Amino acid sequence: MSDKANIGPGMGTEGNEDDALAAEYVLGVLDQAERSTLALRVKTDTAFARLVTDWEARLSDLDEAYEAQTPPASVKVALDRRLFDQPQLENHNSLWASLTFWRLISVGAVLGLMALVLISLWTINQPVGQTLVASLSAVNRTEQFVALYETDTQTLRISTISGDKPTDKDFELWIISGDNSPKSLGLVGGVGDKALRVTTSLQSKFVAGVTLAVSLEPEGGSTTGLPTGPVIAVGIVKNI
Amino acid sequence: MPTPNDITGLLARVALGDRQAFDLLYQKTSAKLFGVSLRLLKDRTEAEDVLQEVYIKVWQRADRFNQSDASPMSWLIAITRNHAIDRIRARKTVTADIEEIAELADKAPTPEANVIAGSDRRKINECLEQLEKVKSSAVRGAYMEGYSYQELSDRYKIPLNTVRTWLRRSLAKLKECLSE
Repeated sequence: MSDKANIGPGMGTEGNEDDALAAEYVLGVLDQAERSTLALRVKTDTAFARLVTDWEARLSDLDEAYEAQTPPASVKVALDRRLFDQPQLENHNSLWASLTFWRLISVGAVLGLMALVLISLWTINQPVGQTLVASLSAVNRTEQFVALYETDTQTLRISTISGDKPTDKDFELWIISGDNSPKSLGLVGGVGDKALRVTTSLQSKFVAGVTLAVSLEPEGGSTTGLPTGPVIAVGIVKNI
Repeated sequence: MPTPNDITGLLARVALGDRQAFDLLYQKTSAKLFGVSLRLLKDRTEAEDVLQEVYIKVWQRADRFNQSDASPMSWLIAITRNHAIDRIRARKTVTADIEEIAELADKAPTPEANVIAGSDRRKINECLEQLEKVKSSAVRGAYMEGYSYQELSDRYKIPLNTVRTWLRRSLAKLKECLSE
């Protein structure tokens, strides 16, 4: 917060080029080239991103003047198709109850057959040698983790990219699949990589699209079986 | 309009991949965001495209919104404005119709609207009123309609660099006034 004082209005327009750029970026007056340069800065330069957020907050009081307009229903239909109609098995407890599964089958004999092979492999818990990865972070938090899961060894490796664990607390990793409550995968954090053995019941949950989250818990982890502290990093599992 | 708490809760659930929450979020927020997109782009097809892009981003990146100090609606509108303005700037030719700009730029909200909108909104309007009229309507025009420096320069027949200098000064004054 101390650097915020330096960009106060007393500095005048010449005094802080970045603050003026952030204002122009949020207002939207810049041309395409300048906008893309600054969009990149927002992603890579936390101090600049903060200036942008401040200007967004400052000018957001003008948002009231935008009148609501109901979009045509076709937009939501198209959106759902783009987001959820892909042949991937995610967020479902039971493949047999899954609409995605049946759609997959109907896509065609080839795809259907492939899906069946994969599903039968998963069902009997045979290794299929897949690697899944998730990058976990949250805005305004410094903690960052990368998780890597190998289906054939059922081992989850998690690296702390940044973020120090408070001395009297622990970071706990959770897997969240569909509407189910989070299941603990164990404690993480500290220096270097950490390998976690995934229990048999949770192995089947590791598919693309499920969510991993890290929460801040009392030392030794949550005693309730559910996250009790704030979630400090979240990421979606992807195939690589 | 839904309360910020509703939207924050929905965003948290969306971050965890909850589709029901996503549907509800869309139901509660899409009209406002479509209004933003349409006002900026002034083209229904493009505005619909942008609305889709925004919700795709929200589905994939809802985890980026946590208990930051931004209100969830401001966060969503900021994403929408960004997408819409990027799209305007990517258009091949600048089709600034001077008369249309002049007409839209004067659409300052009525005093009644200000009362309804509450104290913050009054504050920014008070601060804008302390600027010269031409400058406050340039700020409004840029924010609400997505005008570029180039368009403002054409509109006010002032060299681009001059527009940039006075708009920057106006923004600095606005910031000072808002922090009082």
